[in-house]
Amino acid sequence: MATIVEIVVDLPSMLRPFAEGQAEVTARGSTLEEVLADLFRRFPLLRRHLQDEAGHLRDHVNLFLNDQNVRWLEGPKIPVHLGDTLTVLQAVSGG
Amino acid sequence: MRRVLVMVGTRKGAFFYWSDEERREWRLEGPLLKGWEVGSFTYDPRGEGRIWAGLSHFVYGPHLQVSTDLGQNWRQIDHPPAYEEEAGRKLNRIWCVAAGPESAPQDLYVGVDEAGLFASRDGGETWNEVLGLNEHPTREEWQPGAGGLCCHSVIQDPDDARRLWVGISAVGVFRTDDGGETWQPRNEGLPIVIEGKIHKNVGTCVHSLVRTPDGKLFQQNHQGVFRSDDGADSWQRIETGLPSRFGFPMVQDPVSGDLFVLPLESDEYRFFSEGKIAVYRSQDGGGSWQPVQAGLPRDGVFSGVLRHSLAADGLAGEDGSGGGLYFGTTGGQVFASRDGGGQWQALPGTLPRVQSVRAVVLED
Repeated sequence: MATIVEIVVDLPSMLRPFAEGQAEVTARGSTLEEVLADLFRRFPLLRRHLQDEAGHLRDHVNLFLNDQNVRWLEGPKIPVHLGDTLTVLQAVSGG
Repeated sequence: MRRVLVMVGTRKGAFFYWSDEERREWRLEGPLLKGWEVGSFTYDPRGEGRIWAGLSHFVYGPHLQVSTDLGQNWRQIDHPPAYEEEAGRKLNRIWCVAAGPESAPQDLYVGVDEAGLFASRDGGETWNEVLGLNEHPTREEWQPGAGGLCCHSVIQDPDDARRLWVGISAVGVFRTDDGGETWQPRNEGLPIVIEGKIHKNVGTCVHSLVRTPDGKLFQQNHQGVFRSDDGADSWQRIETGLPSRFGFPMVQDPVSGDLFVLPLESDEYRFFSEGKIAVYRSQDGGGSWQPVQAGLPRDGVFSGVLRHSLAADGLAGEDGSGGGLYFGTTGGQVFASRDGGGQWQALPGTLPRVQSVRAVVLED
């Protein structure tokens, strides 16, 4: 049975106002999908900045689970473990 | 005692200029909403007085924020305008926020890209699509302009709560006479540049729309400047004296009634011709235009002014002949006149690309 853990989520400065000004928050789950759901439950305003209308990760948003870009990993049901960190970064692009 | 606030939305945040009613010295505040692209500002004086900001970001998407304390604090709207997933459209940017009629102080409208109109009946807390426009039969042949497929202008008729006009880039002007239930294209006399196979009455690129208190409508179009004397049923060219037909914003000075446009070299280049900032004024409802450029740089300014970046404050100058006017360039410069265009000054600072300018006079 999967273990629900609480992990750290690092937020970029532009999104901190939507998380009560915090650079680092926590969210719970046994998979990445559950962690994101918990994150959006705690901070609903973050959802629309990380996901589009269809619920997909926005094109220029990168999520790193520890040092792995989640886009390279297999699907949203990626297991998370105690001590993991989820980092939200904008892709290196634009001007 | 009155204060004048000029709100400047840029590619990377908002900047406020503050002055007193003399408008000689200006204080720059900002960046506010740091990092967000501020496509539109609206000051809604109804009720407590609120500033609405339509924001977007190429990474984090669009959203709406509101301030009730002149920008000191902002609140993101929890349930902003959003297309249903099954609509098959994406909401890329919020282009404008417009207040509804005086008789309905909780009514607001938002124009967006992908082109559409949303309405709120609860002061902006929740929004619904105006399907009569968003599902218009001509939509099957709507095509985007260089700035996207955007509903950039919404005008509430102050004399008729059920009448509104919208401007959609590369599509045209629409009007409703029944509170938004049904809409009709109103582009007779405008150049159709993207002619549809079926729908011949859309496909003109309106850049900005202005309604004056006498009920006339004016527009800066991609291919000219036009006036309508009949509520947009028909349009006539009004370009005598203009060096170019191409430009983006237009505004009327409420004090003098004069109209202002900023012609650019052409749609190929989209900057001031020969690097000389050009401001033109009409004192006869568009019958003729004259340059009013005293105090403006006339050399080396190869930037432009976008459609929402020209504003008037409605406060008469010392001699009472004209009011305050303001515009911001894509090069980050902001200019002001306190006498209806007679003389201009540069406001302090060089900002990111200016995307919107709005001016408000506040009574203390």
